[in-house]
Amino acid sequence: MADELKGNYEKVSKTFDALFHEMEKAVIGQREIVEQIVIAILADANVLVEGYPGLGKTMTIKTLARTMDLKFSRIQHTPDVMPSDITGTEIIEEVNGKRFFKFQQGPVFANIVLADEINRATPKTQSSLLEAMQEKQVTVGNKTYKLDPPFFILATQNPIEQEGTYPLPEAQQDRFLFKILMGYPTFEEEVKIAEQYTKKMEQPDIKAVMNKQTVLALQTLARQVPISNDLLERAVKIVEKTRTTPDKIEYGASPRASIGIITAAKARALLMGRNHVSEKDIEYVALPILRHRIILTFEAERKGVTRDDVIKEIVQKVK
Amino acid sequence: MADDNNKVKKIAHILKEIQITLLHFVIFEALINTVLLFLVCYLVLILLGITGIYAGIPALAYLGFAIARKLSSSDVKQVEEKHEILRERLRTIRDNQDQDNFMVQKLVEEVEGKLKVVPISSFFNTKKAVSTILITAVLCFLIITATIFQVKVVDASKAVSYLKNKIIKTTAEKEGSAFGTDATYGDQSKLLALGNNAETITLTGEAGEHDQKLDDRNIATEYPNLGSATQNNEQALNKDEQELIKKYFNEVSKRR
Repeated sequence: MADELKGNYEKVSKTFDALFHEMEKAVIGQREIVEQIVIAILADANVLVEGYPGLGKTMTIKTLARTMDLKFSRIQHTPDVMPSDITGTEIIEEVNGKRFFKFQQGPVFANIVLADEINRATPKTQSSLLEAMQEKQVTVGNKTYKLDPPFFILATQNPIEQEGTYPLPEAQQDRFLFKILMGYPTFEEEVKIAEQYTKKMEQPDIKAVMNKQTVLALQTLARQVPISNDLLERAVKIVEKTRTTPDKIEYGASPRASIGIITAAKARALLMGRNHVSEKDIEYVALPILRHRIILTFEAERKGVTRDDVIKEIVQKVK
Repeated sequence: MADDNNKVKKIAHILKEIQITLLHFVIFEALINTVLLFLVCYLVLILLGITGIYAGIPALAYLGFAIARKLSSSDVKQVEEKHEILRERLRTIRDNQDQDNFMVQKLVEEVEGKLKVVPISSFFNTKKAVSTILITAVLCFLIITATIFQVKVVDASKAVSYLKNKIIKTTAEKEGSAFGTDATYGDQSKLLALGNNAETITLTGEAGEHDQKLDDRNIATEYPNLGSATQNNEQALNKDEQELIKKYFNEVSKRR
């Protein structure tokens, strides 16, 4: 399939059409969320989703793993979760009377990992996951274990019930490409959800439309999507503007945001079936990339200005 | 691989052709507008009674400015603005010519196909060209009519002449003209008038008679007052003239 994709570009957009079709069998609505998660996978990056319980976060990522035929694991974070519960640990095994240490892989050794309620884990546990995100490897004792590519983490946060939590500091949130805000479905969507999930006990039959090699090939293709110098400069200007708006933004985004915008724009262009980056791609990805990388001034917050408002204003002004 | 390299080179060639074609249109449009501007200025000048040749100055200035401004704007962007199907694609190709990967190759193929349906005539604004030619014809007719019947709204030629002389005078005062100033020679215009017309100067009196060689004549007997000639001559001149001569020699000595 990977070789077929390279030889036949049109097959790429058909593959994504098939993926969204399969996703819609299990995930009703939330098309934009699914698109953003797929963009992040194509960009070989990770996503932080903030949403209330019961919106289908687990269902979405589980279904996605099935359509991509990738190994999926889930980590439910609580304050007592230890780093070894995530990375794995060495256990004693006895064979023929001889005992030796054997490394038991933790749930992080998967292709798609759902880190549920990451803000409930202790900073030490959060940092072990962050090493996996950034370095695509895990260190246990004095040994380093490489994670099997592609590797993608979808971390979730609950915006309510913040008591007893350890919010991710901005420096660590910066490592997530997107911060996606998951909202409630529309009335019609909720009717469909209620109808579908009260009819049958069985889960919808989801077919795999691609495999691991295809995903890796698509990630390589996404990097190859060409971008004009004008758009490249516009992306950097947008990020720079977040650092030069002192009346509304106290701390702006870093160059990591510039890299993120361009990589994500390329991935989106590929997802949309285009072989070049458009200014709409830049405008689309700027919001989820920047919303967790800026800190507003007290004055702006007092006036009720949100991060999204400021980012939209910057994207409109910078041409 | 060789085919892929050829495709990218082909696009480089196409981009260059677009650039040359657009340049031709830019120059053509600039020339038409320059001619129009020249004719308008010419008409205005002859209606003011001033030599029409001065209309060349703003026309040439406009020509240089128009070409420079058009050349500084992106040629590829101009093509994209006229054709939505090429939007962002040409610029992307232009900026990624040196990259040889699958996605760029696909983009090159797509642009190649789309460029085939873009006619060169789409860059030529026929309406504007026709209206410019019609206006030019009307202006030519007006200029010819005004010249034949010597139509003048205002006679500004004297004012222009006065201005020109003023500029020359001011320049001469600042730089110290070889002809001196009014303080040295009196009214400059008389000097200039002298240079323009043929004058017959007849020298009369003692300073003018050279019929005999000086060594054959007894200077002392014939010109008893020669020793004090300068003084006599000075006394013969009025005070203003004496002052004028003194100033002249002062000026000359300063220059030495």
